[in-house]
Amino acid sequence: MSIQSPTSEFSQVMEQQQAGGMPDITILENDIQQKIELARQETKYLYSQIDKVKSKAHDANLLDMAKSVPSLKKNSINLSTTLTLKGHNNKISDFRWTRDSKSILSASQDGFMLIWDTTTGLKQNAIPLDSQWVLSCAISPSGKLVASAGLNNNCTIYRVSKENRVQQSVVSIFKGHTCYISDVDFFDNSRVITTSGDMTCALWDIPKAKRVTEYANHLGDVLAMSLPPHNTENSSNLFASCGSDGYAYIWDIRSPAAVQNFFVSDSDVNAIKYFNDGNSIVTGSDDGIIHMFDLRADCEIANYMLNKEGRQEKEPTYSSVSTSYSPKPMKSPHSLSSMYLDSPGLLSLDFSKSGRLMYACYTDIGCLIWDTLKAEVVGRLDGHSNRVSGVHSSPDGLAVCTGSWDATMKIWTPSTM
Amino acid sequence: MSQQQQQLNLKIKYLKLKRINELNNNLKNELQRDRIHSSNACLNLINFTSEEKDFTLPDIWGYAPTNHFRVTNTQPHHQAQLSSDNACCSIM
Repeated sequence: MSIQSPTSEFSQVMEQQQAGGMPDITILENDIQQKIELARQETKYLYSQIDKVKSKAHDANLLDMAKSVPSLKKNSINLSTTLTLKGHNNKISDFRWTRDSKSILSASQDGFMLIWDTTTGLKQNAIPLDSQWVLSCAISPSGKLVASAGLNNNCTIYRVSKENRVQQSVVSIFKGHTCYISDVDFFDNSRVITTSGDMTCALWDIPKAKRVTEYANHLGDVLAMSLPPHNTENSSNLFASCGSDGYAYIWDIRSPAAVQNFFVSDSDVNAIKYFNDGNSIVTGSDDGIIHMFDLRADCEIANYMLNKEGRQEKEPTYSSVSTSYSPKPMKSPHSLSSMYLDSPGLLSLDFSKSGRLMYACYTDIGCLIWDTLKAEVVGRLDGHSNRVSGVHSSPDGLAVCTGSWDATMKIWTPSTM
Repeated sequence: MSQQQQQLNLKIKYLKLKRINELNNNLKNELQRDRIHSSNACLNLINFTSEEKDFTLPDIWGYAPTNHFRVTNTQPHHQAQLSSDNACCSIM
């Protein structure tokens, strides 16, 4: 489309030239060259103006502003496991809470999705998958539909049957991505969004059974996405994605071009999550740094970094707890290359209900708990025997669930003692 | 240089110009974006964390009056019982 108009403009000019009898291409060429140079100057000027405006708006960061907020008390995090969800016999690829916090959908590389009752730990449904190589799963707001997606480049929508507990009832198979699908989520009860290694995100309509919009600003694999919390003002149209190009993009589903972008890191950005008020996002990248960006201020407002020992850079307030932060290479039945074992990369991020706590899964350190306002590590969710691949807070805020390559999930909630 | 070659060069230059102008338009839009100060954005966020009830922080918010995750700890295979009876076990 963009190529069409300049060419036609060009041919018009050529026609005029030829009609004039003396087509002097050299003059024309010089003329365009001049225009290009002017446009380039304008680009430079615009960039510097944007920098100026941005730095003017960027007058403080979260850590400074939160100085007056008291730190959390020592050992104030007393999350303990109430349930271990056992039943899968391979790595947990992904899992999601239902809106009512009563169930969890999990997808595993054993080729099944299971729906669990989070009160009893019993399984409610089992859905055999088309492809065992599942990377992501999602459950619709109504809980009636579930989606799986992964290395077979397809996103499959299944109906959850209340009668038949072990059933594969496929509603739709969305084909169109030309590379693996890294993440999927339900935008509403009839639409899903996928992100793919083919550098695009896509919006699919289930009743129409087709792709509605493609979002293609990323210059690398799109690795994850996040929807704004459903009760916020941004939730009707926006979503965020991040990728191996080191960028995070904010999209309006109605427009194929991104509405906002943030440069995050030179390394892959693996995880992205909206803050609970829908006004900020956090990203987790392979370099082990968590960045927080505010969408209205259009800039970074905080970052969270572990030092090489897996501890905080600053003197930790929680000295007794912090001694346990040293990276503990997971005893893995799978052989991991040594490069993997040194990787501090982030895999998954989520917030507690108020956003004061941020749960962060690191490749080899496990799941740490950050105080969002003070940028201090205040605890960890320890108990899995292999890599913790994901962490999600329950929508009611009472619990948090971790999923692991050890094929189990654990539900954590404050102990009353 | 042949006439054709010259025309091709010209075409490429037109495309280049078009691309740069597109970029400039995008940058102009970005320049016009309404931005708030980051200090205010931070205050907003801090305010949210201090106003939203969060039962994973019992030090600040206390314990949830009922926690459907915790009740089952003692009765993993039965329906949650939130009844007022304080008996340590019930005979079915």
